[in-house]
Amino acid sequence: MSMLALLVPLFPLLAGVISFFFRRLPGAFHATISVVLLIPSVVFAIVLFLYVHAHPGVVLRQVIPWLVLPSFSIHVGIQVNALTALMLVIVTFVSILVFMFSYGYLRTDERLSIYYSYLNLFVFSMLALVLSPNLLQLYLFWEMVGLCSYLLVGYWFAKPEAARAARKSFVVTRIGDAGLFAGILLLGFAAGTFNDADYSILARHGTLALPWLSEPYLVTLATLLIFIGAVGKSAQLPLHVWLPDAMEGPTPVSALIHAATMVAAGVYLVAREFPLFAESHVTMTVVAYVGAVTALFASLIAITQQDIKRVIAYSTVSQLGYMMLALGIGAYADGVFHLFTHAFFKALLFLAAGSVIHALGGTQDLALMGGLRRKMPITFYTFLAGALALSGIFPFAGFWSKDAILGAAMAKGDWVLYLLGLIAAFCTAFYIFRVVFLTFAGAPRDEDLHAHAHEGGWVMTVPLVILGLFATFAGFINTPWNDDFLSRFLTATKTPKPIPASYSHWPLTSMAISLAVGLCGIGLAAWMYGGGKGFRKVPSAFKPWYALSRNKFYVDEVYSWTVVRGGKLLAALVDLVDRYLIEGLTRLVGLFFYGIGNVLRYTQTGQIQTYGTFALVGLVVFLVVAVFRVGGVF
Amino acid sequence: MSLATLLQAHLWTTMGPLFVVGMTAIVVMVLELFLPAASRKFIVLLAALGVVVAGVVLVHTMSVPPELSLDTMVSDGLATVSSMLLLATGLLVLLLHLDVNESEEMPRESSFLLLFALVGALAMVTAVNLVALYIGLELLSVSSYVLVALRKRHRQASVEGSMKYLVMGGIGSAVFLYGVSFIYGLTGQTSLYALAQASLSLWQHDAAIAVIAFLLIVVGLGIKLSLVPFHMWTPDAYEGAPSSVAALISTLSKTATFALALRVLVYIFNGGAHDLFPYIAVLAAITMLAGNWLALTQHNLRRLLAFSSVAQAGYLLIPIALFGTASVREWPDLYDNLLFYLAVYTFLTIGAFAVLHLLEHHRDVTMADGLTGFAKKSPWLAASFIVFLLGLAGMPLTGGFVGKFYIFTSTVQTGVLWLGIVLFATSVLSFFYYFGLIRTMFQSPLPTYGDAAQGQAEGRTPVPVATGIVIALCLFGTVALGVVPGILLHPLALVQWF
Repeated sequence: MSMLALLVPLFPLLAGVISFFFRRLPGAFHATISVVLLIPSVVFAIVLFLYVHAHPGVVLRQVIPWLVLPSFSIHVGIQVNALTALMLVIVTFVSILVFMFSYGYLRTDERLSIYYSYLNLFVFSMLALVLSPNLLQLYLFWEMVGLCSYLLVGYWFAKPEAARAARKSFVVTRIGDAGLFAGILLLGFAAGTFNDADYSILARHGTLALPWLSEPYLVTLATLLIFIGAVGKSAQLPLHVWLPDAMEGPTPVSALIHAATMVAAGVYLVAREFPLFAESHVTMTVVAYVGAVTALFASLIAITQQDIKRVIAYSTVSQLGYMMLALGIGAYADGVFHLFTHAFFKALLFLAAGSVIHALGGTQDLALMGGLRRKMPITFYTFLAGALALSGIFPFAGFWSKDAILGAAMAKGDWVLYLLGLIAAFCTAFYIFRVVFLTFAGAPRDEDLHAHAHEGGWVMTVPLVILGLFATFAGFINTPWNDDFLSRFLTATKTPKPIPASYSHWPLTSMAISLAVGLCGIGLAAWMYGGGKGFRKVPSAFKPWYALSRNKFYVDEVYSWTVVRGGKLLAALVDLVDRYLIEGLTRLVGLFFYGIGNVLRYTQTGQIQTYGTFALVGLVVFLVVAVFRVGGVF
Repeated sequence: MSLATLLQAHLWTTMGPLFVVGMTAIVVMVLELFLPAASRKFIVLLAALGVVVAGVVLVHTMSVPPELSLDTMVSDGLATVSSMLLLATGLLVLLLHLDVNESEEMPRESSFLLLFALVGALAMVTAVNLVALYIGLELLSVSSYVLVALRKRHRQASVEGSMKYLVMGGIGSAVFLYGVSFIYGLTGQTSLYALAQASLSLWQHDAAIAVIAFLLIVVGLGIKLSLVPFHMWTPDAYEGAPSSVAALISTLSKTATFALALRVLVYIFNGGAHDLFPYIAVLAAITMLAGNWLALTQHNLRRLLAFSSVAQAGYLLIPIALFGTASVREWPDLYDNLLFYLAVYTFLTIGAFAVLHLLEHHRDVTMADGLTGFAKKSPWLAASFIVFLLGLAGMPLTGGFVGKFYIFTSTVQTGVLWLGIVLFATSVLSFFYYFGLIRTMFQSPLPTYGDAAQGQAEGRTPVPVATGIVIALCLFGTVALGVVPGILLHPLALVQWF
């Protein structure tokens, strides 16, 4: 079985290598080989899932020593538990559909082989990250995921915005990575191992400490540092700024980043370290509040965006906030459940948006869309399914997972978190149906573009339909009526904090409220944008608020004025120091060494007499030293 | 006792590989007299085959417990592991020689001389008797002197290098022998085991003469190992020698001489190690500093590699120097360190010389600026060269890093941290010139006109099969030892060194 797990990431790696080395071959070859080679990965992932399901609590682990030092050793290998098995299924499944869709979307691109090799590497890194048996290996692949996202976001590097977005995504996530690395080192030093399965056990025994930092503080500090890493990767406040810009990459890449590979890594990390996080009340509270505030904040921004991908991008930030919220209040299984359903409907929304963008010759502006329902029925109905799932309407996937989170917050009695989540849910339903109405309903606002619009062929519609089915039905995997299948699957090995018994009375109430809120959001969207009304003039009373949301609460501007300017100022200062002090010194040192080298060079006369003399002098000097040495021998 | 039983009983275990290589050498020598010049390739391949057979024999004898035959030859851990490394080195050098032989139009003697050098080297690591050791040393040295002179196409430089090597090597042998004669005079013994037992009393009764003997032996070996200030012949010899011979004298003779030095110095002088081995530490430090400094200003690729190998000898000397402070419990670690780094160094150096040979022969490049545009024209070859240079510099993910890292840890453990710091600092210094070369490879060639365009007009450098195999093997060794050093470190940790 563990061999099987090892094979899962190797297939995409193989495909990536093939694509990289056979660049001359046509694009269809690269697309085919990528999809075909990913099929066994999907199958193996499902087999692993079923295996773990059949053996609750099993942990497949296979490691070999990589570096053995007297004090501690580092291992490499793989490890599969319930969470891992689920992640493998999500990642491989979404990836294969994205691989298919990509060919339709980028058919004419010249660098398709490079695109597919990056894409495969991306999937490989993510799978390897998920399978990592310890934090050090995880960190390695964590960085590789970051690198691949950089490469793919900047795929159209000739476009300045794409290059800038790629750089931004890399730099912003690096801030989080620094935190994560510090956390890993802290835990590594405290525990003497990077094997994170041991941490929570050590923490429970009170032995996870350093001479200068006692147990509770260390756990809190380390988990907060790790959480910073997750915040960066999963685009939570205040490091969310990179994700909306990352849509400068090709749309299928956005689908991959938003659904399966990149941002899921952050949530996965927190879920993986959940037992350790659960040891620190402070961290859990921070996680929950960061998640809830992010959920609301991003959904407020999404309301007014005019770029179709930007709306969906902010919706990802917001949904990731829900997952963090769930993990923070101890509803471990619900958070992962939402990750699961979100992967399907978010991939669907992005691919459907990609289908629209493709049909309209590359425009992403909602103002130029409209009336596409009849022209692109498959895209419309699948997008609608995704939108309903995102809004949390019964019986679509998002309904079950989002309600589970809100229900858990309610059951915990944390009304602030619950309300934040609920308002965000309202906004969610509103903004996504605003997109639905503006894109598909009414009359076209740009006749030229509309005239050429068409579906993208079966390579694009098949993934849409499959994802549409999943977005509709995937939620049934975890309902109160099948005793929360997924939660049981996930918690066989994990022990989340017990949810109060009173919870059993709550689901229906909570579900009713969530459903009502979602419907209200849709209703408001229908009232404002339905029937082809298009954009409305903003009433003057709302203008400041509208501008606030439209400009994303000026976070980018604030960063630009503080962090970026400050950074530049600091850089200028450092540059001065570097240029005149450090470089002067290095030059001095360099000159010194070169000088000595030159002097030594003159000893190399080429005369054998000199050589002999030097050897003799060397011998004599040694003998003289021996004679006069302190405690000399003569 | 008949010869046959003698062979079976003892000698086969301790000297089997040596016999096989020696016999091959004689067969090759005789065959060369009769075969036409066109069968050159066949002769070299035959020689390589002999080395492979010797390797098989060696592996076969590994299962037998260590033996001492004739009170002279031994099959202990140091002998077996070093022999293994020497045979691997010999094989790589012969494969490289296949192409060098062709392109340098070397006289036919070259193949059997290479084998005799290998015989000498094997004797140096298996013998535990000062006389036998000295014979091995001389066999290796004399073969090398001749081999350096065989580069027909650059006759003048070749003979000059050989001459300097001969004179300095002669001085080295003489000084070494002088030191050894003191030891013999004091103890009447030539067996290292007997001397090891007498070591403490030697130190207590005749400290003064022991110091002189120690220093003479160190200086004598220092000349062979090209330690500063006894290194001056090195660049000339490297410059004059055919590439395969340059690879030979920088790897084979270094491995053998380091193993010999380790054995002789530790066995004879462990009684006074605490007072004596600091001299070696000083020598190591001087060698690291001066070697790297000299390489820094060098533009000639061969001389640069020569000085770099001087610096590497300094790194390799550290484990021996640490015997001064290490407890007996830590001795195996030092053996591990030395042999691991020797293995890495062998791969790096032979690989670098293989690439350099192709550069010289097919592109006429001898100076560093000739490397411009190399990365673009022959990306694979350039990539291999970069890996070797990075390995020599000690970049992580190459064996060079792991080797230096372990030596550094040993300096910390044995409390000679200052030597570790010199190692670290000079490694940083070495980055300047290794990276200088790498940078040059990526620069586009300067616009040239007329004859000045030498070496840059052609496209991709052709890679002969044998040389390609050598480069691939060295590349594999370098990276494998860097990524999974355990494959060598774990076996080494199990070796019974003495």
